[in-house]
Amino acid sequence: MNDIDLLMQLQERRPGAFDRLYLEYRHWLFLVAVSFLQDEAEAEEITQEFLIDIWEEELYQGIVAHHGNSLKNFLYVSLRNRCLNRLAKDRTRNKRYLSFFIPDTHPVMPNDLENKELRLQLEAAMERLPPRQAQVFKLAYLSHKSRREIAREMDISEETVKKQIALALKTLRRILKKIENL
Amino acid sequence: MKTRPDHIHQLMTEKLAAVISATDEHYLDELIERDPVVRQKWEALQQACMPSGAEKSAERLRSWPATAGELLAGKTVPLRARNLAWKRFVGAAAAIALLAVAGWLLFQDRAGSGNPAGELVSRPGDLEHIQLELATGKKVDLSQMQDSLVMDGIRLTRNEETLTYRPAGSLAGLNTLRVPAGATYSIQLADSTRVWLNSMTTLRFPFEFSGSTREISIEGEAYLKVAENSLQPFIVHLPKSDVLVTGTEFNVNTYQHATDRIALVEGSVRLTAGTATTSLTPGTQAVFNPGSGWTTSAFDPDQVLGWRQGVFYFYDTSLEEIAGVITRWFGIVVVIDNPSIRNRRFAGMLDKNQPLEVFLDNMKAIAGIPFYYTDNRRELHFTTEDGR
Repeated sequence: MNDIDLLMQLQERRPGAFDRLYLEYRHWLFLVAVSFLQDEAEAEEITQEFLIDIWEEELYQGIVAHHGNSLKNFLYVSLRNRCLNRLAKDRTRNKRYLSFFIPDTHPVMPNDLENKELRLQLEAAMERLPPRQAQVFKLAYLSHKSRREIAREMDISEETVKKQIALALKTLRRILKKIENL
Repeated sequence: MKTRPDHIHQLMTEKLAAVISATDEHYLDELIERDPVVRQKWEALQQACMPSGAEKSAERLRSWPATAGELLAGKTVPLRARNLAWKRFVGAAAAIALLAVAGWLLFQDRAGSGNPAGELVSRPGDLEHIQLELATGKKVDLSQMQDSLVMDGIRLTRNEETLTYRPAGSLAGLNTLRVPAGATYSIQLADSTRVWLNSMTTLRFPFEFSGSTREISIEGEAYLKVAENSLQPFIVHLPKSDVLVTGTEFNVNTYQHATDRIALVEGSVRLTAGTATTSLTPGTQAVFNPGSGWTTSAFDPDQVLGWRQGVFYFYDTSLEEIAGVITRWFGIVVVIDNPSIRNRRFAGMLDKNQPLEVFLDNMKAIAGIPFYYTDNRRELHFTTEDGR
């Protein structure tokens, strides 16, 4: 199941959906909180509170699943805000989390796959990939599966997944260049 | 697409927790490889969040509720708050000696243990009233007793929920106080030691402590404030072990079948079971089981002492154990229809001061364990959605 399906099930309050979210993301959310708060006990508390609120206050109802990452983005931003609120209450708190952010002044290579104009062309180009690359790439790009999930699903190694993705992107760039040149 | 300034941070945390999508990971890996600024941030984040690696970091989750249902049912008290509650509790208790004894079987009818495939039944027992049986064999129904009563030269006085007595003349032998399912009771012994008895508990005690030691025995669950008297040590006999009170403040609990559980609040106790002995430091509990002997660990005071406020807090507790508590507190037969759910574990809270249905509705909604009644609501059944 991908995040778009998971979000839909949550919004329908289907039993099991919250359990899946909890088991899938609790470690990640805990780490997000640790990175902001620099305190494991406090991070544990704020993360569990957040998870309980997600279900009890139906925080997910407002999320629009226009993107495979919508749920994760929502979880990250909401928890980040909670952590920042807590830090703001105490001026003496270490703001070490700032050192994990890329400074505004430093331009970062953009992610081609996040490029909106490219996206439509990408859909078409994907169909021209060799079947195995296409399958791996679609699971990653469309279903937002992790290397591990894809490896398990296709019964191949994570290393192979990694390579196939790299190959697929190379092929896609070539195909897209050709399209642009037309 | 406009990216948030912390977008890369988000991707990095996703990578740490291995929830990042394979395409995002490809992008992030390229960044880390090519961009020294990103690489430096990545290393700093790893160092801060996972200094000893992913496995160590994931280990911390073992203390978390195992499922979302348990998280919701438990409204998990944050660790820090729990620790504070513990310290407050010890502070408040500093002046008195506390001893809680919980014991004995949750299930009188352990049909389940002989027949693992069958249903499991927890029965409240036949006793309907709080009963005092004197050494002479005479029985008094304390539920019906008014303020005081004189019997065989003993004046029994009931003050709110506590029984006190004044012996006139010496009465030898052990008396038995039995508290049925659904009730609690307390008694003040001759030496001023107070004993609070939980449901389905039996206390054996003499009217006077005349020997060199003070000895009582308890089956079930009880909480004791032992009056200090170093010249006359206090001994509590449990089904499998004995507690010798050497200090003043401690708390003993033996919940499961064939298992005695003693938790020390402050001071010291010496524990013996046959030839196996151990002692405790405050904040720890010892569990004796004939198979494994004594084991000690820290305990959570909410969980161990909550029953006195009529609240049963449970963490990582089987449905079987929860059924036992329901039987004791609400005096009804509880049947677990499906062996598959008997050992499912839950976290949460059962509040005796609320209708049982509040808890049952939660079990159904959150834990997915439906229930129904039979026998004119005298028998409660736990089942599964699909009846399997």
